[in-house]
Amino acid sequence: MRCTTYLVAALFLGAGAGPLAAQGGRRIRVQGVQTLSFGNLLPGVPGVVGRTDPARSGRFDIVAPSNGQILVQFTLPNRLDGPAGAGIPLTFGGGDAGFSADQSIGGQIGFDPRVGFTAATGRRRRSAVFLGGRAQPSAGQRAGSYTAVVTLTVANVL
Amino acid sequence: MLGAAIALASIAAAMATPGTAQGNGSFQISANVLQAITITGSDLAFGTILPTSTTIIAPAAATAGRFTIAMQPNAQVTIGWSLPSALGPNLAVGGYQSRVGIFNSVALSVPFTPPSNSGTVTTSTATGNLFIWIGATLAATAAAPGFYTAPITLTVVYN
Amino acid sequence: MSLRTLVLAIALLAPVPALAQGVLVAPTAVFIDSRSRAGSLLLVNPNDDPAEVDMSALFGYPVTDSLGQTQLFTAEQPDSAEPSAAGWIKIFPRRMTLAPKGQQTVRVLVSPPPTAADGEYWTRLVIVARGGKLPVTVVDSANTAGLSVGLTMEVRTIIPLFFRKGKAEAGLAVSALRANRAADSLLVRARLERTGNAAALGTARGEMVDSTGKVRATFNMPVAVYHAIEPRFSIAAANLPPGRYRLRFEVAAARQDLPAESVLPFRAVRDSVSLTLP
Repeated sequence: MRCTTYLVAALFLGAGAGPLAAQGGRRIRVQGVQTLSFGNLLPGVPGVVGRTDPARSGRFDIVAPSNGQILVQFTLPNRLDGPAGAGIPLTFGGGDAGFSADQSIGGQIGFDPRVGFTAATGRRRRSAVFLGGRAQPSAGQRAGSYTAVVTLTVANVL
Repeated sequence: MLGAAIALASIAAAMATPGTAQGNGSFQISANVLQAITITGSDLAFGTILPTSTTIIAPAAATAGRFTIAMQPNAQVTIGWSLPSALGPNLAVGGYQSRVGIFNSVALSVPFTPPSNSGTVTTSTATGNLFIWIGATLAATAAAPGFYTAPITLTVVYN
Repeated sequence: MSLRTLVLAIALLAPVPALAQGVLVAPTAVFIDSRSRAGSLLLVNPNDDPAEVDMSALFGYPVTDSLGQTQLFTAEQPDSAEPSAAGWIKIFPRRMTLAPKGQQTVRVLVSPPPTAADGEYWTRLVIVARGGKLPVTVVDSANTAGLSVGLTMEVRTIIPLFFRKGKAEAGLAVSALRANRAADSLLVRARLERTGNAAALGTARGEMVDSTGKVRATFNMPVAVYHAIEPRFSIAAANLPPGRYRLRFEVAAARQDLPAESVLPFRAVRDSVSLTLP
């Protein structure tokens, strides 16, 4: 029971960080630091968040060995879950994710979040991945709060 | 698609390779849907008619009028109609027929007689959606050429 | 027949493309307190044509007729005992043209007189949307007898506005619970009377319990009690076998379609009655 509670709490607190992985001494840390927020949506009116939106785009910070290559892969939800089993379809387009080797939101290289992406980490160890997307509430969408969880897996390439 | 397959294969390979590090993290995606009600209508078109003629537009016709109401599931509204009886001199309109349904398909709707101008209907639907199709009969008697129009007003009161 | 004449003839015979008009209104009820004395709502034109929107305020609230049907009671000059806020409302802007897919935030300011007593005051916001342009008809000069005729659809959305000053409390009393079978339904009616100084916004629930204690049918409907109403609720009874039942009825302060923080709490009221279905 306690484990379950902790798991649910971790998911709903939003920013979850994977444990430091230490295999062969090459450590990678991935941390969700900003929620992808569609804010207030109206029934029947799609909500779109761009990956360069500083306030609403989702953001992962990555700590990985410098001057290397990493592979990033999203696990994307296809809907936001809401009250009484209601859901809002979520879609991600080909340019909805961006990789920034220096963590600046303006220095992103866009990529398709639905497929993996190989990135060069450069001289600094810290980089970031940003995510936008589109939510399409129906005309009769039930009011209330809706959430989903997106996960980013990062692997080091030797 | 091939690129995606290669990338996925690369990740799988990287993750399976001894000496390769990996990590993962997550964040939440959030949205808040506001309470709203949307009512839209599309016009009933008799099109071009002869000065003396009778034209019937059935509710299931492509040129019938249509109202769409979208609101919260089980929300209760009271609906009233204001139906004109004439569009101009020698142009009488009446014989209103209607169909209502909770799906956007006239084939899945049921016949419904709109109440008189002072009448109302209170309703709610499990989906929050309500579709109303309206047809009418137009009787022209030596009407003058021109363009004629009048509004059908649907009043929806959120209770 | 020349090509031009043929084209015009086809154009005249073709159905006029249906114009869509209407508007999305959010929220569906506006709650304003005496500290802020201001609220807002959002209007969105979901269509591909411009929409002209007019807004106004009038005094009114839902009542029920002798059959239990809900109607909107309105009064241009409400009785002085009525808690009307209609005369205190200013709307900015009152008229607007919404571009296709466009939206507009409308501000509502409430200016009550300083002598207004604590409690809740009501008005209705009326949003009228009509198409911003009419279809243009080209009549062939060789066909001057042609008439183009259409009925435009105009929509009026009427939503409640509640203004709360000081201590506003909701309360409810239930009486005269009864039911009778009509065709394949059981029609349930009860008298609901407000006891506080604010409207009671809640949800009415009913259940038919058979002699073994099993719930055989239910209903669940939002209610808004501004003064006293006797609404009608319907239970599908086609599958209810003859026998003795207990009808349990409850109204509680919760509305699925309204923000929980806007619904004033009140003690749930309950009643029950025995029924024999033939």
